[in-house]
Amino acid sequence: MTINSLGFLLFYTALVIIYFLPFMKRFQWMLLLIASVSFYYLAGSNNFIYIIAATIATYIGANLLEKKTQKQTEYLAENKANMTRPEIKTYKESIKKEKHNILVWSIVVILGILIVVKYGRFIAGNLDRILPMANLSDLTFFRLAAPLGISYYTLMSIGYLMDVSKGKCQCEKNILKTGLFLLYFPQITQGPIGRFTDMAGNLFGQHEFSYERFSYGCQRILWGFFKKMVIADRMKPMVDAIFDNYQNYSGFSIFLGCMYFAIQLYADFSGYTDIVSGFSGILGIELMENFRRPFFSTSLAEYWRRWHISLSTWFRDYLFYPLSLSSPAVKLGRVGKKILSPRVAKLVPSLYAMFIVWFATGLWHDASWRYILWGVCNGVIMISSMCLEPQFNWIKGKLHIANDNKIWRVFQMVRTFLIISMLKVFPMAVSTKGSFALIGKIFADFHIEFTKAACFPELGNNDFVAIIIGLVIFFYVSVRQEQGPMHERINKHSFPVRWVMYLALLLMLVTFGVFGTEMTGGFEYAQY
Amino acid sequence: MEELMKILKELRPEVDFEKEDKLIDNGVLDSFDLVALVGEINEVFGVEVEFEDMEPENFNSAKSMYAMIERLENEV
Repeated sequence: MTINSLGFLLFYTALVIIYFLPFMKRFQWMLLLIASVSFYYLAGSNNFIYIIAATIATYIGANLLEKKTQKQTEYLAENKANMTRPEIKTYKESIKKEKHNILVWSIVVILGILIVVKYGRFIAGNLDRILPMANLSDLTFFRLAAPLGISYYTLMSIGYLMDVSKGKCQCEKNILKTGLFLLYFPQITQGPIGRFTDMAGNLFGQHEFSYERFSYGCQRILWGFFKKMVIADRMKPMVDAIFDNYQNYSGFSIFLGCMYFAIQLYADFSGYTDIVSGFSGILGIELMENFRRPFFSTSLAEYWRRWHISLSTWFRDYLFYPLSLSSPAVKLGRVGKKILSPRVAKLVPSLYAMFIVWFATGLWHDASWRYILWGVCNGVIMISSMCLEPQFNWIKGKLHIANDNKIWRVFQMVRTFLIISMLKVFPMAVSTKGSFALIGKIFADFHIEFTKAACFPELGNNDFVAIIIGLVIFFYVSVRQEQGPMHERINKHSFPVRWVMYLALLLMLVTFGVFGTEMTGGFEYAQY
Repeated sequence: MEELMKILKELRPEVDFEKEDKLIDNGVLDSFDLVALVGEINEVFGVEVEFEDMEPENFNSAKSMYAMIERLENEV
């Protein structure tokens, strides 16, 4: 069962009816837990061992961390007056070390599960290349199947533990509530990667039915389905046609395919986020925003602040900051000061952290070298643009280009979109070798050809019309969203005007959307 | 406070650090600015800003940064 199946709509309708029954208020979180376990099972995952293990490790780790914090507070409240400043410092350091050990061991268990089930095959395969006699790939231990959502709930769990360790939030005393946080059905398959600090209040709180929330939720669901079914699902056959048989296409068609895939993936993933945010919002639980019109970005760094926000901010807060403030980064910064210009030397700790973060981001997406390369390429482009910023500014000055020049901004957006599209050669190939073959084709066999077969392969006339109409509406709405929240603008209209808009969108969805037995296929990002 | 203002002005000359009180929430300072800023603060004030201190409320204004530095100085 996927969230865009008829089965899910029935499941969700039944849940909403029971959820808002007057006597259910106190039990809403329990109902959500039952619904989440059921959804996890119905979504095809009958192996609960990993998520149970992650929940137990998270629960124990968080509670032990909080106990240490409490111990410190109580001890200092009692003894601080009789202690010297160095004694207080030494005591705090010892507690900090204990907390650090608890945190590390909790993360080792939680991350260990992810490493074994998601990366076991990849690690064994690479070790076998170095030591062919070992034959590690044949061991069952390295052939386990990764359960649904493990990449997402692992990050949520680690983020929560780090927040408890920091004292940013209190730990959850009920293990079932910890389980609900990790398993909450709207975000288990492909995020957003929620934060405990943002979610706990709503997730475990009591909610009355709100027409306002219901109306906004339905708007988002409708808009999400529109993006998914009219744009993403209509474009998918064309993208698949190009990359399944790339040998038959020129570099020009392959590069167009990369651009199409960038748009398809955005419509698919942001459509999914809108749908689950709508479903969750109706229940009174806000999910983290995952997208902010990424194709309006003027640089790759800005793109990553607007695309898959819950992932990029997770890596920023829980990996980039600890790494850039770590002693290796500080030491590198000191070395940098001796040999580099002051400006670049200041960037050294960030660059060191950034390289590791992008390596990890690539690896998080998939256990393959092509995804690691994709991550590293993202990092290298951003690091280069940071280091070369003065040179770019000098050229801009010589060309008399002002920062607020509209043509310049459009150029920057197009340039960023082309870079993002080019990087799609990594996820679109089936292997690392395949990625290089695509790059080779794009550069060695590039000849512009304005025929339907070259520009829109395997695309029927109806698909073409649907995609164009869909993209025009998508672009218009995105421009308006840049100017302010769309739902506030819609709500200012009178009741009949609002309903004409909803019905028009629904009509377009029914007319142009792709319907199958399960309404549509799965979502692209669920594979990660 | 003067030393902190000097560091901030050097980092981002175009920002009015006297008035701005949502430096992080409004995206005026990004993560790279923060890391460079922390490096400077550690060196000039002899404190150790750690991962635990990397919270928006500690960096949203020059005033909140100074309060954090004073707290860290008292802990040394």
